[in-house]
Amino acid sequence: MSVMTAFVRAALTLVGLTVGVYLIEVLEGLLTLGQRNWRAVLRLPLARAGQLLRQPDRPPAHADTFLYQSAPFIAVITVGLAALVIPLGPGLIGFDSSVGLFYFIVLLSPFVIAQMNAGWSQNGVVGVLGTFRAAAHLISYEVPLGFAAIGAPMAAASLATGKIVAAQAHLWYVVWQPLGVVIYLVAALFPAFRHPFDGAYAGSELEGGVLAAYGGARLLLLRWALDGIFLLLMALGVVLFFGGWQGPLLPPPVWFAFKTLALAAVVLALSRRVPRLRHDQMLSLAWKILVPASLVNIAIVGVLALFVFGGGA
Amino acid sequence: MGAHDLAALAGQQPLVMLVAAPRHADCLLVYEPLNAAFAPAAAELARGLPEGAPVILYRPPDLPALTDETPGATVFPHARRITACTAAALQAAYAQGRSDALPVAAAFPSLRADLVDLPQEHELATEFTVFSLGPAQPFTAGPARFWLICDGEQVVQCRPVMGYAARGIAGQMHGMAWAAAAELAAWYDPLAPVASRLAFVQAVEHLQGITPNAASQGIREQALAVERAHNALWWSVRFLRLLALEPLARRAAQLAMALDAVLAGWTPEPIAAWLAPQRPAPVTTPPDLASLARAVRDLAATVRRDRWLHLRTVGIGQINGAILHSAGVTGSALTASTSGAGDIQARLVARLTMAATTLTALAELAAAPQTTPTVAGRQKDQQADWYVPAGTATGAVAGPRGTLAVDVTSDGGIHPAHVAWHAPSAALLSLVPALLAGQKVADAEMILASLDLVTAEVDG
Amino acid sequence: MSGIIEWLIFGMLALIAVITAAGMLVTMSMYRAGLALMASFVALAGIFILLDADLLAMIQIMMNVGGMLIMILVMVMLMMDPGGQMMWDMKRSMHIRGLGAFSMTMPRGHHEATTDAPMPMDDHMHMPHGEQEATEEGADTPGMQHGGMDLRDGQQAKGAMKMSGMNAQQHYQMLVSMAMTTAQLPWALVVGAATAVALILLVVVTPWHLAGTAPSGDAAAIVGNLLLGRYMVGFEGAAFLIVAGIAGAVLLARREGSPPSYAQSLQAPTPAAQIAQPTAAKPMYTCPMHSEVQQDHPGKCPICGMDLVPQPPQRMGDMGGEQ
Repeated sequence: MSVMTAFVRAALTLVGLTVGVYLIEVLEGLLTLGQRNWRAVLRLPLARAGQLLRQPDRPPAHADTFLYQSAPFIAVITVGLAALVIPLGPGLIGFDSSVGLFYFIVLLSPFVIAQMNAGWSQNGVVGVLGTFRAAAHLISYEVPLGFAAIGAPMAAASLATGKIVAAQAHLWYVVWQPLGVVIYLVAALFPAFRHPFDGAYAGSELEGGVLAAYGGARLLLLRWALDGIFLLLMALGVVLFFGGWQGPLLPPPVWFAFKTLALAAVVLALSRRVPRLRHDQMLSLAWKILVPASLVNIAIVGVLALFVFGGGA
Repeated sequence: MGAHDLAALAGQQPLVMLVAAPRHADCLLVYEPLNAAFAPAAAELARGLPEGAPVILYRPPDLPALTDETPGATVFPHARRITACTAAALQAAYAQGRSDALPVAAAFPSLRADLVDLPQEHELATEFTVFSLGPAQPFTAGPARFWLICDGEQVVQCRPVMGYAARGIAGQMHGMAWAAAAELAAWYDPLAPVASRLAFVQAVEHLQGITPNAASQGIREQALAVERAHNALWWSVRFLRLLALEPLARRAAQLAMALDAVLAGWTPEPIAAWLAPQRPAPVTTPPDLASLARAVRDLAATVRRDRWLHLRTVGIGQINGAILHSAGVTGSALTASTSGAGDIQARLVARLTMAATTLTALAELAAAPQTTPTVAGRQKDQQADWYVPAGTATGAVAGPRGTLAVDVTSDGGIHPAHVAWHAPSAALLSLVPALLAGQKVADAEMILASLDLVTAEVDG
Repeated sequence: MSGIIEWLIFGMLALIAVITAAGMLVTMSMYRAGLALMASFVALAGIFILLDADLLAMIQIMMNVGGMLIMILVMVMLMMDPGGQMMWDMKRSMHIRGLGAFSMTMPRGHHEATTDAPMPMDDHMHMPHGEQEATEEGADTPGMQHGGMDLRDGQQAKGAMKMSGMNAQQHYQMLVSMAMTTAQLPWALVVGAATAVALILLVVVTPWHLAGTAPSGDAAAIVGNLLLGRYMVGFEGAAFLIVAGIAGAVLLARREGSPPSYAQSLQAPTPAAQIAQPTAAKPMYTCPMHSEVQQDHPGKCPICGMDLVPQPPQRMGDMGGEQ
């Protein structure tokens, strides 16, 4: 591939992600403020972005300046890189790696590390507490998320995201891996720091936690990355369990975008009913419930894939 | 009042939302009065705002001048003023554009940062972190500061620092005429003006040796009951929002605003006008609250059943009823411990149930045929009598947070000789350090919020 | 064309790997050191991708990011000054009555704290204005990547020395006390350089065997087939051993009931517990000579006949002993 196409792909990825992030913000606004305020909801993310772009961002006193300034960029770059392996349609993929799924899950770690850097570098109590909570997230989501996601490649006999979608041409995996879907969606909220696992940000609890000292464009970048990773996790969920781009009549990318947003809306609406979990409850949930459940899921999927659905390959 | 107004603003308007850190704010709304202890904190908060964000001052229109006050204009010379605490006024003030001047007067001192004396560390101990909650924090109504000395996420000690809301109300009453003092009394607990004022008026009436007639008494009780329900509802809005349970918080906010709307046209003249000694209450029918009462009862039931809420609140911050009793705590916090488990969830349910039963009782009153439609001998324009003979008397009423009492001493002159308040929050506050020690930071904050402390009444 | 680009990418990744590795050695911030090591491994993973070894690269990132994270956490917990010079006042600012909601104090300029270690807070709060620019300039130098941090430290330290009129010995002591340099630094440099030379020599003199085959496309499939085919016994055996190890660790770490945390042990019976249930915590009685004797009522020890005494609350030492 030439340099030009690489640039075009990168630009397209960023534009697509930004649109997705805007839609996620709108979804959240609709859920918070109700449909009656749809005008304000459509305007709000743009207004907030404009407001933040006009603000200067000065690092707090005695910050670890390099980490403070770089953390939002690390987060954004990670999100951008992770977006490359999401297939929007047959052949419509930024980087068709043979280990696409693994690549995506691996890239979540640097994203969480970037959040930790952001909290650590600002030299404040709330930031450091946020950092530790983010670290607790990192060690709790990796195993259940990976184990839940592994069900799809077990059935498709490939780690490449495009092949996983293609393998679901006849039957979506959500039909016979419902446990995997639930575990995946719960675990996906961890690295995205979504409510109710937003302990590292924690609203008024930690005064913003990791984000507390950020302002201006860097805050915008961090929020963009947070929404972006959530969007990508939902997109990956669609790829793994909901047949990706497949659907009748409409062109594949439209189906894919529709499914992703619908899944995001469902997850957001359900998660709002749960109060913010304490970090120890979050860890218990991850290690005592999600990990054993995901192991059970692997066993079930293995048996089904081998005997019922024709041995995968 | 500020706490309820803020909760209302954030619950209602799409364009107004509360943020956690000053760096994320678009403007800072300062509720006057400020005192000498809190003004530096407010200044520090304003210094933490992003560049160009304005400070907006609001002073409740009927707030009398206070002697211990630091005028907001001396701290924030370029602040914009709003005359009504509504989203529209806030947006209008904000729409004046960026404020490029420094938000705080340059000479104004910062909040001093100094070292906390930490508990003795053991040889192998971890280091302690000092986490400062406040002075401006959402867990109490009004400013207060709680030093949480933490071992990681675990609170080892909690040291409350009060005084940020002190206005010297009792002291100021000594030099005031009785009528003005009664007006000022309403500000003792700004969230419960009826209860504060009624307590004072009752004390005065005791001194005068007068018992108000039954109809007045009944309407006074109704006003108190409405205020209790009102406070419980707004408190639950704030609390549920702190738990990040947006759907339930929204429901509570809707109910609270519906109650506000019903009450807006309840009495023909404002409550403050007839809440005076010997002044009979105007004839009024109790507001129609039947549907609202049902809705609040439903909300209480939802909260009691919500399994996710259970997960987060049951068993946390338990207080033994006997201890509460001996500490002199009254009101819903005590009910939660005597008839419930005494944890956060019990307090939430107890307050909502209290609001529901209160509203139900009022609704039944409205439905019942009026037994005393007009009071015989009631003179419509009877003036309040402010002559107070010498002596000491106590007025006590059931306020939203428990029994609110005031001792009034008169020497027969035109001023009260001595006024002493007994705040329901103070008793709860004395339990806070022991209650928070050993809790997780997140739990400690929720426990603090569940106690419904109003700092203004503690500080006086 | 693509060959040149590949060389460019390789050079960039190799440079990043080397620079971050060096950065890990010279930075005094433990947190940064961990991150630098992480970055170095990630750059290596980039080289793996360049070699068409995607799977290996992913494993490299996954393992090392997680591992380094744990390392950073342990270091942060154990070190006196995990932030190094960059944030050497972080530890202290944890003890300061921070400003709470306003804890992110705006930049008011760097304090001249380097001159006196137990600095009174007021110096920190009211800074002369001129200092500010100097610091911001300094702050713009990306410390880790250019190895510039040390340089900057040196400049600042020199400035501090000039100001306070310290002699070289005092200056060095101050640097040591602030963990900016250590007595072992020269030795560490020598040993490190020798190791590097030895490794490079090894690389140069080893006769590398070049495989003639092209890299396969889907490495994951091949590895999967091998693991579940030819190496099944070893693979499953390892899995079984790991499970046994985890179960054993859980069993060893398990304790009867929940141990009191350090924070709880500070206040003998927790006040919160007392408030909740004033009579719930019954004191256990034990013999001062025979600690294995425990009963819930006072009396005599069946072994030595001494009066039983109320048992003190469990302390850190007890827990350490069990482990």
